[in-house]
Amino acid sequence: MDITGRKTEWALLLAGLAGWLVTVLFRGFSLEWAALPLAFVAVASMSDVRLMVPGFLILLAGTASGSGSAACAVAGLFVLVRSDDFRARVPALAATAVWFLANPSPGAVLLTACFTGICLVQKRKVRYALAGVLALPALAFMLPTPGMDREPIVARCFLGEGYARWETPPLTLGTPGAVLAPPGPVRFTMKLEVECGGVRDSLPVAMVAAGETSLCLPGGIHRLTLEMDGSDSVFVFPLRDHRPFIHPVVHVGAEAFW
Amino acid sequence: MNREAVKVPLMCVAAGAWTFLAWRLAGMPDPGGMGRLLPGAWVLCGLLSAGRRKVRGLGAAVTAFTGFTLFWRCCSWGHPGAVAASVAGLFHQCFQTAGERRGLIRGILPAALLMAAVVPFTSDEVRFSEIAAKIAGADSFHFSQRPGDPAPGDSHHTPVYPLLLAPGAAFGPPGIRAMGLLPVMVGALLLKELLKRTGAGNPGGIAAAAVLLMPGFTLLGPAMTGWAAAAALCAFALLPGGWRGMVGTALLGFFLVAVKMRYAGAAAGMALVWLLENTRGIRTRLLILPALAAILAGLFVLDGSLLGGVLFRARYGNPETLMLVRMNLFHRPGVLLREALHMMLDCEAGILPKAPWVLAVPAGLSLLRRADRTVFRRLALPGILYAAVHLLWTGEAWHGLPAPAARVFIPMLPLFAAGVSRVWSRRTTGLLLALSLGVAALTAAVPMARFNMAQGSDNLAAALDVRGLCVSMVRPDGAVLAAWALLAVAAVLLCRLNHVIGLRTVLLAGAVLLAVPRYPGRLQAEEAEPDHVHGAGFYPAHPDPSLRQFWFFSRERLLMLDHPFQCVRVEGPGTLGLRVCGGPGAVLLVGGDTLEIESNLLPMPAAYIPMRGSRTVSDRPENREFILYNRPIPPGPVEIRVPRGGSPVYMDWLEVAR
Repeated sequence: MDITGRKTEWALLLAGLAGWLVTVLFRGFSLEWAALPLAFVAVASMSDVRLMVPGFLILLAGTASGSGSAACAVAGLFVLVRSDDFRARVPALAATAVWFLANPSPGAVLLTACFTGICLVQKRKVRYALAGVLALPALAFMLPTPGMDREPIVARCFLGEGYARWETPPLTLGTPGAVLAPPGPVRFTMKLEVECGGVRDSLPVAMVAAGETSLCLPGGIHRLTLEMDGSDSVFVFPLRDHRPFIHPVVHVGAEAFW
Repeated sequence: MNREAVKVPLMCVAAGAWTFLAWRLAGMPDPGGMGRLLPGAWVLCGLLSAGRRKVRGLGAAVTAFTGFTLFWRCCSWGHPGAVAASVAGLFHQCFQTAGERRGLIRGILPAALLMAAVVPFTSDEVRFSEIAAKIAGADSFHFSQRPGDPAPGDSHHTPVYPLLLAPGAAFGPPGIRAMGLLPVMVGALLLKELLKRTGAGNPGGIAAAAVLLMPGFTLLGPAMTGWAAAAALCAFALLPGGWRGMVGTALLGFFLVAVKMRYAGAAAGMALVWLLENTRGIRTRLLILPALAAILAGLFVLDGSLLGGVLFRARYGNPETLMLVRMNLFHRPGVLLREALHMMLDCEAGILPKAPWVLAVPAGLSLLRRADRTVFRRLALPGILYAAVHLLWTGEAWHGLPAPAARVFIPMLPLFAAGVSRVWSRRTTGLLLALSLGVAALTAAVPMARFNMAQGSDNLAAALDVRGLCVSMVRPDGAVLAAWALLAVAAVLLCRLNHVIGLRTVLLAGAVLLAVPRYPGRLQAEEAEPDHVHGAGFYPAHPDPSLRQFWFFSRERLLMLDHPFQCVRVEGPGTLGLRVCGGPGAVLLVGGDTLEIESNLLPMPAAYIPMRGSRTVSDRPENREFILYNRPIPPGPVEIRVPRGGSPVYMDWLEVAR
């Protein structure tokens, strides 16, 4: 069976559409979900078996949460650079562009224009060269990253009689912050251990906000004891924006007594 | 200098340099750990691939890595995806180097060193190190008693495997790790020889792929006895025939049993193969059986009188274990069959989710059987007997979790590799290998994916947010099991037919089928996000799985509410469904309503014979009946909690039907 045959292309397109409809049916409409069928068609149009790894990722993305569409955009990008078939590069470009449309960022228009340029180039080596030249500034300025307007993650709280502790994953550039909800309607003493690192200067890395108090913490280990009301949450925010060669990270350990 | 000869090394070194630079430009986490080790492995791979002429897949790996690096802040997959893309590319280059003349060790080494550097130093490895240190007279490790040990300061592990590690003990954990690489390398070399003998093309590449894509490799690196067992089984397949082979068979069999009693099935398989090959007539064969029984009895006496039960009695030869074998065989054969199915499909511990390339093995083995029946028999009988005896002997604890998942299959590596070598060049096999490469790379990228607790939730699936799609032995779901079993059977058949388009269609259809949530809105309570759960703990309380503490009696984890401040929040309106259990006086407050939760203790099955005479099961949550509640809830947030002074309530799942 010839995988590049027209009937197969239609079958792939229909399969992709079916996958998207199932996704929309059960998870609701979102523009970025259109990246799933587009990337699927792009990847499946390539005859190289090795490329089924991104294909597999797309299938997984179809079953996963909203962030799966970003994996589809990555797969689209992959096909855009790798595929010698223009008919595969077009849906690949569309898959990437759809993600940018759904998640606008400062560099989105510029990057989409560059991707379109890459899509039009027929020679693979030239596409690689263009992508390589583009990758450096894109990584250095993190052009595809949308504004960090997501809500802070809620730390998991475990509590017993007179004691509570919180667990939260490390806060990096990819996490907007963490909130530690109060254990209950009682006054409590919270002991925080905040470990900030990954920077090369002494400027603040994280901010801890609790009730009326807020503290900016530079790199190092900080042990804080806070007297809190039963209605006060503690917020921990990473303060640094992306800059090359720094990897800000904040580890939070917290326990409370009352 | 020949430009062609330095092209591949230069490209690999450039890939390493780009990985190092891109990691820092993007500000990805862990720059001092994986951010250095991975580029280092690329550089080593480049240096060791000197002389290789062709480079394949490097551009794809670098492109995928760059793509994920660009998006790492946008999605939870970004960072693991970038690491996995780079690791997959590295492994792919390793396979190619291993396919070169005298390239096997050069091919495996970069990946092996990377894994040895990133995998935590835990449990059995610590114990082996302790014994090795004792043997070597080093004092860098301390001995402590664990369950199963005969006496304080005396391990239930035999000193054979630690003897291999002893030369490295003086150098601490790195020395132990380095010595642990030896059985891996020896096993890989023997495997290559075996594949060469069976007439496989590219034996080095296949051997490297089989070793690197075997789940144990990225799960616990080289530090497991399974690699020594795999090497012994390869050596057995290479033994000459006739009586000369008898000495070799006996030595290898004793070696296997001495390394770990778990491999007794494989040793028995070797003895059986020797019998079949060297004796004629049923009477002669039957006469040899009492001789084998006498040897076994002698071993038992030797173990009890001289070795203090270390070899056999402490863990495997005591009356309780023999009782378990009897129970498994005669009282619950159905459970045994189900466990055998889970050995294949269970997401936490089974082989197929961790190494889909094994799906190509049946097709290859049928070809091998036709081509070389002797090798087929020498591989298949010990391998299958090992798995069967292991299952029979350990019952529902066959997986040994939270020890690294799927490690128990490593002794079957020669069988799997010989099978896949026969269908190696088929595109279907290529696709399955690509999938396996993806899984192996993701496992290497997500450290916690190496460990599972046998509580119904695979750590890798949780990281990818696809938990609901997985087959689970402790949270059985007939529909999911049937779907995956059908997919596996279809994949095996398609491998046999070498039909790649069909396989893609099956995979797509399966993925779409599984993507449809069968219980929309239902949530396993213990998996609910912290936004919905405040303060509640887990039952059983979860120890760090990387400590690999004993976790017998695998069971589903439950959410435990035992304090009035703890609550679960759901959003109305709708019908709230709950599956809960609780002891005497257990009450649950749902909004303004009060639910009586007290549930009965389960009756003890009639077939069970309690050791202490009482026929009442102990009062634990898993021994109580679960109650289903359905109750309409008003619009807005509704809190579920226990009252002050109430008994604990254990929640299995909750759902809000709109």
